[in-house]
Amino acid sequence: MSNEILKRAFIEAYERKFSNIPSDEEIAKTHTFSNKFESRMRKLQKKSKIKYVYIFNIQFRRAAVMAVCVLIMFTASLSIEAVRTPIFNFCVSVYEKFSSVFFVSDEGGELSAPTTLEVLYSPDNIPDDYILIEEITDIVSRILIYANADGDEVEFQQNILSIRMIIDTEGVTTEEILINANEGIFFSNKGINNILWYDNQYSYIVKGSIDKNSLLRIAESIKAEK
Amino acid sequence: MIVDEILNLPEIYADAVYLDCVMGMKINEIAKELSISTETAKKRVQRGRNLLKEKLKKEAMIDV
Repeated sequence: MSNEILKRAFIEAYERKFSNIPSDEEIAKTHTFSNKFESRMRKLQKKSKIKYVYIFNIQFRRAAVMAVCVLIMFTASLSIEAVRTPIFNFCVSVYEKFSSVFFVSDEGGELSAPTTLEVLYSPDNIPDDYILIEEITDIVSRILIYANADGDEVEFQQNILSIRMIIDTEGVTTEEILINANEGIFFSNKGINNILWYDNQYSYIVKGSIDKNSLLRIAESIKAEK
Repeated sequence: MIVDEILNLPEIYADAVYLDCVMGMKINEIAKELSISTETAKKRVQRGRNLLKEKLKKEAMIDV
């Protein structure tokens, strides 16, 4: 099947799909949006005008980036020793406000963690209607993706501890939890539930559009593969 | 019919393939448009195409 045929078919399909949607004029005749809805739409439009910059794939507000630059320039005038600790702590604070970085460093760490995936883990309790559709495994990280017939996905990740996990927690509340006695956090963002946790060897993520309890069961079920 | 199978595709895959096939977007552009990672965008395009291909094979619309 050529790309041209597929393209024409898609155009026809989408024209058919959208032909059922009434025009703005027709909608205006029959429907009036509530004041609350109008207010929310105005807020969304206002928010869309906020300028963001991307640094290492993390989204920061431009104003926040400028503030960090000013701080770095100010503290650079101090001695090197005085600069090192404040910038590290401050950067963590900024991340927590706009984009939380789950950072585990080996520098000065007491634990001796594997630097490759010596043991592969996978969840043992996946909902019945989900099947494994993709596996990406390399020496330092692993991703397993499960999906159901509706296209809903659940993703499991296993990473070595020195890999930084970038997560977007802007505007959400994180909840500290325990997964099999290991520290972790739960949060929900844009309809996706997320659980991140770690033990003394690896860090793990389970995320998907399923409910929190189902996600917890998946997280708690991970086992080493033989 | 191809058009009917496209209409029956899950929306997340149909939209990704539409942006790839009709709009001619690159994967990173699709990812930005859909607010997903580039890896997810790539997977959705591939899966969308594969799903469509399988459905059409079942209807014997294309050669196996």
